[in-house]
Amino acid sequence: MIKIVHTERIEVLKHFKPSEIELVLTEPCFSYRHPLLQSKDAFINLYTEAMNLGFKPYVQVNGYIEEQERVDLKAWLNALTQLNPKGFYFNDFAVQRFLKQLGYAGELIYAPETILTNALDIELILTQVDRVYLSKELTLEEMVDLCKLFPNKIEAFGLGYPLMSFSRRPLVRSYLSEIGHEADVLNRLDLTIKEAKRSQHFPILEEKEGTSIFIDAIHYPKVELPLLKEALCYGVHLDDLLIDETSFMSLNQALLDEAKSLERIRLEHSHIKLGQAYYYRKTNMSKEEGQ
Amino acid sequence: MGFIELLAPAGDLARAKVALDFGADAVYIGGKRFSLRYRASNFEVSDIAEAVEYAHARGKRIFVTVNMIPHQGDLPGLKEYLLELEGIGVDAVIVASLGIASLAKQVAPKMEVHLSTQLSITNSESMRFYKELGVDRVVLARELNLETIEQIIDQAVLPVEVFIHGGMCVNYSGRCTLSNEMTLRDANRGGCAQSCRWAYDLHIAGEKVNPSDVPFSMGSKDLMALGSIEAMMKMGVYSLKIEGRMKSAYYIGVIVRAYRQWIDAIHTGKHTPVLYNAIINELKQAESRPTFDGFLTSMPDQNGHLYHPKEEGVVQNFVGNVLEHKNDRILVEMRNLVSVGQALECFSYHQDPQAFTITAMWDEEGQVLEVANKPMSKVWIPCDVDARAGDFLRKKNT
Repeated sequence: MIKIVHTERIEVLKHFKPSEIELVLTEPCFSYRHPLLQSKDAFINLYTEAMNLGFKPYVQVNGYIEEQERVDLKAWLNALTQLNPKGFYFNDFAVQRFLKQLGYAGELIYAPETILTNALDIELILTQVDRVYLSKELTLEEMVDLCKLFPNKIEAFGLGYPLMSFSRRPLVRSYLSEIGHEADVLNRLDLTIKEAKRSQHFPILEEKEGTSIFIDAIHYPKVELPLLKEALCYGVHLDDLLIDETSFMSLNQALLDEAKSLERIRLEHSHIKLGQAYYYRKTNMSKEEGQ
Repeated sequence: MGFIELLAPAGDLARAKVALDFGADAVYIGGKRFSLRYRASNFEVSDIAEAVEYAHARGKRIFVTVNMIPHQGDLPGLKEYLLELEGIGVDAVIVASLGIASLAKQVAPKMEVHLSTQLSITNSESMRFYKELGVDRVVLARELNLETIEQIIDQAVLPVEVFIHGGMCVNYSGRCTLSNEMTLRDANRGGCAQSCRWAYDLHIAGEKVNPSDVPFSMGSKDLMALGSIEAMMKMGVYSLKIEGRMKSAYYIGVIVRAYRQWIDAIHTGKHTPVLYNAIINELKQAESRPTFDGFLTSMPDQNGHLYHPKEEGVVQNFVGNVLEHKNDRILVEMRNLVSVGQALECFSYHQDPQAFTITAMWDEEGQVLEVANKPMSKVWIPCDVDARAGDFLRKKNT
């Protein structure tokens, strides 16, 4: 099972060997969740540095493409294919169609964040792409079953803050305007929201493309990873967004280190909350059954 | 300008009939399974069959939402359900799963397949992909402005449906798991707890920045696109969709009638500013939240949000349903408090609102009432206007 790393930081990348991982770089023009990377040039520089380190990156284009962006998107995809990436992750089928039109022959992976939760959809979509990236709101049992049905065709979330929602609206800036607060919040990594009756602080990231909100605990399938591996899950994604470099690297190293128990890892990272997303939480509750 | 469809929601058979009677060209409803909005009362298959019969007799259409994004365990029975829907003459299914879309085309090809807004369709290129899968219509994402919608339609290979009225998800529909995390209720399987509308504290660098009386909220105002209908008709939108399968029959009646009136006025060139303002006032009669025009004319800012809970005031002018009219009296099933002397309007699909005043009231046992204050009780009221069973009574807007 392959580790698939998402990062915008070359210093993080330098910790890895190209033979150990696959690398995904999120392009900044038609995507979101790239707070450290704001221009094509910055992306090309990162991509080039990664290449110089021996990586052959994948490119992620995870945005919702609006009609007026089609021409620019196609031109940008054309430029990106010249970099010869190993493959593309996408959310909008416009990206897939344009890449086909451009004659791109690398790998295509459908990664829609949510909405990919069953074999009926996966079977259909695998007629169009090489692999799919499962939704995070599945139980471990559901994930294992799907991986077994489609051996080496399914990728799953492995480490990082799970995304809960994405809004096109500038939610934080709008609110700050309402209360007359003048903080500059764009691309900041230190914003959280806390629901009145709950203790969790959910990270919230505002970018020009919209606002993302994350679960408050870093997904950490230390115990569960062997099950996914046994089920022939192709790979798991490790995303360093919102995680400091030291913690990300030590969590990564401990993930497959059999000598380190989850309890010990928790002790060593007591400043960080670790969780298992929906592995053990069914979300088909009624109003009466739910929390 | 050619035909444009007015598509209305209904949570049960009675509301479906109201929507059709008040001017919808088509109604979308949900069955007991495979549908979002499971808290809406929803239809047994026999009810769907009756709705289809009622609609088809009037040259109208019924669409059924099969729009949950199923997990594997939700799928058993789906094929049989699709066959059943086709068998009773359902015109289309609205789906959010591409697998269900494909299955529906295979096993029940007489039904159209419409792709839900949960797929967040924002361009014509992805529409081409969906057309190749056999899809017949797409519902666009609610995050688009009029200019983008027009550009999509210029390139569109499928009919386009656009939301024009009702509740708005603050996140891309279908891409939100706030409810899953907060309540273990999956928004994509009908359990949305509307956690976006809850009150939050906002912290920047660990410091709470919000005043306690104005919590951070993502709650959106409702969509109201009356001012954009003419533009949508000119650009070739195929279907105008009203949100609200959980809304009351009265709400559906008011909203459908208002948009029907405006669409017809545009078709006949009688869409004057005076009529526009009158319809705006009419829409306010059923408003449950303040409204705005969504993304249609600009990116929503703070004016598109509800930060103050008191803003969410439900209009309380609905009085009750007329059950029968006999000997110059109407029997009313009450919903809200009303007193003798109150000016009322009878609101119906067969005539403009008719005003009258309550001069007396009696309960079913003949006891005189000064105030009727028991919801669902039945009350006789003298009435000299053409009020019929199925009409609505509301307080006259003064």
